[in-house]
Amino acid sequence: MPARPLNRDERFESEALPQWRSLFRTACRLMRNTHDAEDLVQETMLRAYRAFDRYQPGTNIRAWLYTILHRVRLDGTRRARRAPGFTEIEEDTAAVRPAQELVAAGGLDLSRALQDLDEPFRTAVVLRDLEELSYEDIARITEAPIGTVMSRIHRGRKALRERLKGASS
Amino acid sequence: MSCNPERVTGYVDGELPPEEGQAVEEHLRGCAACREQVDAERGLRTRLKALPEAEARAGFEGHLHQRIRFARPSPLRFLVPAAAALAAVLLWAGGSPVVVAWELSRDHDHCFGMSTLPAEILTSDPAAAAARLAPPGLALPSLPRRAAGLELVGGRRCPLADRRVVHLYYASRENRVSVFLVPDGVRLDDRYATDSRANAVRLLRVAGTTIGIVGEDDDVVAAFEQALLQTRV
Repeated sequence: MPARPLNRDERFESEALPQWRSLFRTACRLMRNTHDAEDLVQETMLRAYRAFDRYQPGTNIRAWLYTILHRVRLDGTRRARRAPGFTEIEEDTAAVRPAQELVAAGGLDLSRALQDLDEPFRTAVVLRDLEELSYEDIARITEAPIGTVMSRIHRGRKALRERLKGASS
Repeated sequence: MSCNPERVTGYVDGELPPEEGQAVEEHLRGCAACREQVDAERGLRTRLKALPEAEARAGFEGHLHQRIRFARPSPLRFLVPAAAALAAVLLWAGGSPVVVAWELSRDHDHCFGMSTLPAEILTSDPAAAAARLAPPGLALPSLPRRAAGLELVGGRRCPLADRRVVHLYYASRENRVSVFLVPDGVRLDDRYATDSRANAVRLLRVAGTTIGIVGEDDDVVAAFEQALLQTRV
């Protein structure tokens, strides 16, 4: 007897959800801490679930999920900038010296250099060098021409190499 | 062909069309600078791939499954408010004080660990903070402007339990204390004290709301709790 075809929810659970680790790994490189990375992965998965009817079976599910993750992250950045009443605390007021600075004072390693890399270079390098996505996929995810993707990867790697050189000299 | 570093990057990644790849290869034979770039980029890629990976918290995968399950359209849509409340309770693993303490401690580290506090409002006026942050339909218990040498600096509605938890930041030059107002879902008789994730945590029940106090220094947290109880007597 032929196996019953999976329904929508079952397909999502078997195809999309297992990708959460790979999304989390990327999110950790793009966000400031694992808490924010988890929030980003959760929001990405919820949006992916709601939009799963628009996913074409047989195409690259990781690239599709990364496209959503990229949009969620951009939306979050824009929302944070727009939030009424959101003010950043000045460095020297009562509040609080961040623990991260102390950690950073200990040395500049590759992980830190990657965290400090400006956008859109960081996303390009992370998607290429950590997730090994093709230029074509990265172009689709970041909505940029392939030539721009190549240029961003080039400049991102160059900046990383220079930072590492600066840190070791 | 003259030096074209971006194309060399494309060559390293095997992303050039065959004829362009061949042109780069020929150029490399005579150009030490571009060969050096190839080696450097390959070396960097190897190092990037070898970076240690962060772990998600234990139970995150289960939590994700649960969130997806709650996102499913239900034939009983009129029960959505009840489902939302249930989701909040489930987030706390049945309202266990141990789990609640752990989550609050984690959020304390999260907020105070950032380069700027993720405050929705920066104020030392508790009434202004309450007016801005109280979830719809809920009144917050009144809180002090200062306690145990710390002063209110601001707050936010934190993502825990569907943003129904209010997180207030108190700080002095030396210390930081978080005060959380949790409207529902915690199984708590009266008071609960523990150490969680290297922070001191106190939970107490005031007028139907659970107040969580979290800080690095146990004495400061205890003094803050006392000050809070005294202002309420």
